[in-house]
Amino acid sequence: MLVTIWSGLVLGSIYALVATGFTIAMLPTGVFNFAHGAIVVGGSFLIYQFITVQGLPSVPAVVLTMLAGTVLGVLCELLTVRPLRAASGTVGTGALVTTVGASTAIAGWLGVKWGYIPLLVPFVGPSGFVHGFGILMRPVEITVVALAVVSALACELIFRKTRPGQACLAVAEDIEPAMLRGINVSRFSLIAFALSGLFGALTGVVVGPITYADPTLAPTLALTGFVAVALGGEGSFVGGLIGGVVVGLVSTLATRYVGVNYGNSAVMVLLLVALSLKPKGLGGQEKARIV
Amino acid sequence: MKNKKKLIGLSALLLAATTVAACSSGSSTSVGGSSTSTSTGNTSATTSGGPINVLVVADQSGPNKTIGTQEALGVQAGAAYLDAHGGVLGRQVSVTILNDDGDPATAASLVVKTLAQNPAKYSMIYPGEEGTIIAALIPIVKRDSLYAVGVNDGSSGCIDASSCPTQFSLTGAASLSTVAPVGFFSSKKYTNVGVLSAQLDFTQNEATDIAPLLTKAGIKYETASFPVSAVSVTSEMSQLKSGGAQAVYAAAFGAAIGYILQARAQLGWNVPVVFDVAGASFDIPSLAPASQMANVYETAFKCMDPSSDLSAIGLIKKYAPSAQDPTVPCNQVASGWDSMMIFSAAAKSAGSLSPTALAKATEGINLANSTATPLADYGKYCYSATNHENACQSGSDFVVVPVGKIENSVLSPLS
Repeated sequence: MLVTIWSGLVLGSIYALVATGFTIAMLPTGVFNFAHGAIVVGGSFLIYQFITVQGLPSVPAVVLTMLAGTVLGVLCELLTVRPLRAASGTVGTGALVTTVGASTAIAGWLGVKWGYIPLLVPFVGPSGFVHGFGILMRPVEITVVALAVVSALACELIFRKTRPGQACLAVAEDIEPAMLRGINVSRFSLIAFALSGLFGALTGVVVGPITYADPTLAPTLALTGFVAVALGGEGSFVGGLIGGVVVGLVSTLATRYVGVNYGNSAVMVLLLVALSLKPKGLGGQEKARIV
Repeated sequence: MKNKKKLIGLSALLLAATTVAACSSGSSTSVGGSSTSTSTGNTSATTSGGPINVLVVADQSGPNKTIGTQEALGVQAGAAYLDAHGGVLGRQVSVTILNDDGDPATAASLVVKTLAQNPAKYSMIYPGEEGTIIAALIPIVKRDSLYAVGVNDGSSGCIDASSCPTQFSLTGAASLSTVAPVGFFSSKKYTNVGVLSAQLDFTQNEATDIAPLLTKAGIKYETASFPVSAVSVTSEMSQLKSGGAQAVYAAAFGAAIGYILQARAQLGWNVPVVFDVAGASFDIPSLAPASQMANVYETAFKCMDPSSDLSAIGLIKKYAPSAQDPTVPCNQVASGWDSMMIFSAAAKSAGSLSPTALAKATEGINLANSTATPLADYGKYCYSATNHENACQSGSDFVVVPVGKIENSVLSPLS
């Protein structure tokens, strides 16, 4: 039972990390960047390339990967969001199509470059096992869980307590008054996508040793990250963390104890029940002015 | 500003184009012909004189590219070999490859589109690189009465000949690949085996198939399954461990291979793990650290055993228009080759290229590996009027061997 719970927690933390990346880009733009899953997978491929293929030391490899993620995030904003905003002033549902398109393009490119056979991604931390709670845990798993918790809490704090964070919330709340107050929406959007890309690549670095580098994983990550966000409440980092962990746990426990066919169904039932009881999600708030 | 907007617009267009290309249904371009002949366009299959046209449907760029390209290469090598030995019914063979991009819907639409232009052009179809593609093409092959030989659909779809009146599978019952693992467990005198399978048609069927064989061998078993989206199977392996399994039969492929070995290590469990044929098609040592490779076995195709007596392996190297991928197991390229040998034998026996005549002749053939008909995948092929899967395939076409590194498409022991 403990082994299953730990597996679920690790899986849920992966989803939570993806949800955090989604929320970083979504808060100041209102855009759900479906390409984020592909950026995460791209991070896994890049760390594999830098360490396994090119033999770079861990630190420069991680820095380069995060830099590449940042560039990818910026490109996503410039190519999938900005043209929509330039054309009609708002992004609207068009971003759904363009970001899904970007996701397909990135994942397709990863497949062309590295192929579709999963690649074993090295972990930049220690190897072996850690004994705790009566089970053996891998350091990479502990890192994933810790990063999911720390990043969600840190982001929540930054976005709620700092001026740039509050400016982002103001844009998310109502774009026009925010612009009238002198907030440069385009710049915030670009920075948010860059940070989201950076965080996505970092997620790929820590998640890759668990999931392997596999281009087909991109849509799965995007979808489960989306479910975590929906369950946890749009715009809430802590909500995304809770949503991700709940999705991971429910899916793993249902698969193990109800049947292999019931993991996804259990998550969807949970999502339906949760949203019908709390339409804004577990961590969501009713519409009220925050800023 | 205007230029900037234009630039952004162009960039978006470029991205959209890239996206469309990535999502597109593959290319219908002919990417190959046999080395000795060229396609003559609308030549009818039954018209004498021109080349005989063979259509290969196989992924050349998508997720199944590694197997699709090798299968197509095998067909091309087989065609070149036949050309060098007098052709088929005295005619040269021209191979056209349709890139299905690893997608069943793409495969179906491309084949329909290609055949709409001239349904009688192709005398033989190699119908897809793997199960789901083949399953999508079975109705089209049947509807248009095309002669087809290839790997099976993963669900024994052609075991009932009425479902595939003109189509033949190189493989026989999926259960045959589970004979060797059961023999392995028996030889080690295990009395309790865990069966772990990914939630996929093929692997689930294998898990189902091995059960009666284990029972017959007096071996108790417990089963566990995991979804294909899983990123850990520690829980499932823990279940098998709790059940007292002395060994694990794992029907899985891709990253799941690594998850299984990782889970075994994480549970501090060192029982033998025997991977199925699907798992063996991957380079297992590349999917887990070397420290986790002890006590790991794989169910390999006979051609992967360097001491195999299948005679065509060397010939494929000689006749293939380009080098084989040395990291892909030989059974992929062997499938393409053997399908051409069956086609040739059927044509010789029928004396005709009519699909019904070819099908009838194939039902009567009993092809064994020999100098005259060098085979690469299985040692024998035979079919009947009621069963269009290879009834002569046997459990001895597979071997359980310690996990090895795939080098030059065969297994080489780990140092």
